[in-house]
Amino acid sequence: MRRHFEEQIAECNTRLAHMGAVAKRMIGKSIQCLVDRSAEGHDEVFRHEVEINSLQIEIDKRVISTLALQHPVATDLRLLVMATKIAGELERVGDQAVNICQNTASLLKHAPAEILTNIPEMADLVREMLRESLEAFVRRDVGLAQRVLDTDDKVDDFKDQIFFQLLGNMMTEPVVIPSALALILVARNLERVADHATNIAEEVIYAVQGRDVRHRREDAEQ
Amino acid sequence: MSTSAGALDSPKTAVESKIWVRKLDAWYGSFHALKDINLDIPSRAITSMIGPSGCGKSTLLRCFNRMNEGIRGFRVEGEIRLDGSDILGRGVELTQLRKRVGMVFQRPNPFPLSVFENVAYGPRVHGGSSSRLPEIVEKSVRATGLWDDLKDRLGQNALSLSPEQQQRLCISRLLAVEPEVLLMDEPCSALDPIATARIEELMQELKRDYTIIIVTHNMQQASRASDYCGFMWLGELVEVAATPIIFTKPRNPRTEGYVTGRFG
Repeated sequence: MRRHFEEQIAECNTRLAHMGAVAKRMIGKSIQCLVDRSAEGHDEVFRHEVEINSLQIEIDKRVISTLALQHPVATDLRLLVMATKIAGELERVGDQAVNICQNTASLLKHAPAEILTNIPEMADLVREMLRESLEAFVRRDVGLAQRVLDTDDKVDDFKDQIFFQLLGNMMTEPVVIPSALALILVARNLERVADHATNIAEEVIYAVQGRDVRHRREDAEQ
Repeated sequence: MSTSAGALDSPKTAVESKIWVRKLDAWYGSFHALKDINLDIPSRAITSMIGPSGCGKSTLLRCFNRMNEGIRGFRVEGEIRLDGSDILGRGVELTQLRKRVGMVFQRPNPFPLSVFENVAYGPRVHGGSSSRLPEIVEKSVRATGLWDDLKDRLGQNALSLSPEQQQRLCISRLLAVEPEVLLMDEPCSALDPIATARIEELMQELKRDYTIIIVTHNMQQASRASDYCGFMWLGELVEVAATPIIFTKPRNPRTEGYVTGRFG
């Protein structure tokens, strides 16, 4: 029975790793479209969204079936419950990639405005957080998960910096307002992706050690 | 509860604990069955003991009303206190101890007597007033949820009842002598899942008035029916904690290994 159970967990992990790879590809592609000022890759992102949605449903079904049939406890229980939560985070990462495409499409409707921002650098950092959070899950690596948590502040700094820069652009040159608003939304989408990577890292720590580190920073600040 | 393993969730003193165990060792001849057990059993709660066969959980349970003492070669050292009073001392009256600390066994064991006489047996032995017997029987049979089914059949032979009814009747028989602690040694292992669920519900009702300690091989039963859970392994009490802790975040790797089925 134990072997059968471990096979079930391994199946979930494989699906989750695949889902993570798809989510990363979606973010990469959507940002590439933004940088290239092109909508050519959008269809690929939308196709991946369908795939990522069905992967989430499949992982949830597997977890529910394993919970019902195997009655896991302790680490096994934590890993399975966190697997469904991580699948939920990745599905939302996919949604953010779609949103980035939609905001890029909105940007392309307006007169081309060459506004230089740190969005590509922010996107690189966010994708690295996502990669590390998924690797932390696959390797059960709490140290790596902690590193993801520590990186979140840098993403917030990027977002603030981009926001203030674009605000300045809008005040001095009102013609760029529609484009700048679209870029602010993209920065916001990337920040959301970083939040999901952070959640995954927190879920890894709980799965591995049973330690709930959510909202600790907010508590400390209050 | 506390253990030698240092798992302290809500440290209780001897006064707060119903049963207080310190440095308890027991032997069957040269076999060391219990090793340095330290444990506090909280009052009016259900404490389950889990562990593989032969780990000592039934031996520990039977120490609480000194049921092991008829076994040749059995020897015990250490301290067990019930409401702060020593129960292992020579002067302890065993009949009185077993009246306060009753036991429900794996297989229902009603006497081959009527339902009424089964329940009235204990109060009679302990010299209760005969005129109060119908009242005591009704109260005890009601407490286990059997009254509506059996009130018109109190003269029926108890052996003709279903296994679940027999187990309930055995619990009624215990309640009739007004115990404080109920020891349950695999009380559902001879029952089907529906009867098991009903006995577990009964345990939840009884814990309002009694301290319950249950030994079970069924980890799901321990997880859904007990408030505290202790894991035993080769005569040691490895870990004891609130049941949700044992089944979600056990501290000891041996507990983790056993509850997840990796060993044992």
